[in-house]
Amino acid sequence: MSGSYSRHGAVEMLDMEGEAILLNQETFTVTKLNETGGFVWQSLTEPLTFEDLAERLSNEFRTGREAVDADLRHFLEQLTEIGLIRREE
Amino acid sequence: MIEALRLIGDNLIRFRLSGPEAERYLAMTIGSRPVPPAVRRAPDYTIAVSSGYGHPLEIAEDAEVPVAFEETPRGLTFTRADYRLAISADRREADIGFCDYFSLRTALLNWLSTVLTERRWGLIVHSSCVVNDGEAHLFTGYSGAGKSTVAALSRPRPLLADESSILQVPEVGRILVHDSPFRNDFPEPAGVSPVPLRAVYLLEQSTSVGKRRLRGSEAMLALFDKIVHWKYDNRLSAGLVRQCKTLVERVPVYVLEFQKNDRFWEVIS
Repeated sequence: MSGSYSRHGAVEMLDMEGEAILLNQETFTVTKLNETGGFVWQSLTEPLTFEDLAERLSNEFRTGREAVDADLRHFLEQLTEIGLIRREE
Repeated sequence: MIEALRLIGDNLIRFRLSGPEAERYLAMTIGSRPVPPAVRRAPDYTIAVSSGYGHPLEIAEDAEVPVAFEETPRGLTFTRADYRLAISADRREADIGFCDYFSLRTALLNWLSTVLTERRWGLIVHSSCVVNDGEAHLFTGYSGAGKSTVAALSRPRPLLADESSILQVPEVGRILVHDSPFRNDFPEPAGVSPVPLRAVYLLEQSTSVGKRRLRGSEAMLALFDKIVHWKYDNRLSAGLVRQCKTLVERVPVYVLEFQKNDRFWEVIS
């Protein structure tokens, strides 16, 4: 999990009563995030590594790194796959 | 050249038709309701409609068919195998070439969606819409979910739409539903328009009857892909999403489980 993650430029976040919805303006699709996903997205105002993100999550939600790492890896894979975030080596 | 005036939402449109075939297809597509004398004024838009363009699509109606888009200083052009829509730079005039009912209907919805989105006027939603006690109830869902069944079961209540509802989203105040001339099975005009929107229902056929309110984010996800839209400009798409957000913030959205009978009105009203 080397490299850093950043937001796709054409994606905008909407706040729906505290829940985050991402709009990909290029594909005209929307994706709903849970609270953790919304936190990760909002953290990505600048490119961050997996380590940076995992540390922030662990602190924010007071969760052990083991659980955070597994969830975060899955989340980043999903969002990369659907083109909402990019990974750069 | 044949001329015809039609009202769509609060837009007065002058059609210039190439001949009797175009006139006949226009009547099939958006009806032949005369414009009330009270609305007679200079037309907001002029659309020239010519038959004989391209060839019919040989695929299912709801399949995604690519539309080529071009923007030049002279305006916007949308081209598909079965229609061509050109909109002038000032958006006041348009030219449509079509070959059959389906292509003319799609071209007109393409035109309407484009001008309404650019003006931030409102949304077109795949849905039927019924007036009950002076308020509009909008029913949506995937193809086959029962939009037109609900319309049929709701008679004699007035229908504002049986498949494409025209929603005005003002900056403040209630969402308004205008009588849609795009009809499939029920061409009779609603007789009242516009009507404030009371609620939106996502249809689910079931063995029971009941309703469950969706949270804002769920409602947004459920409604978003029911919007009739031709994407060609990211900023416009974003504007449309904001209007969809305004809609779910101002109007409750429910999942409606219904059987194929009119008992669903008991849980709605």
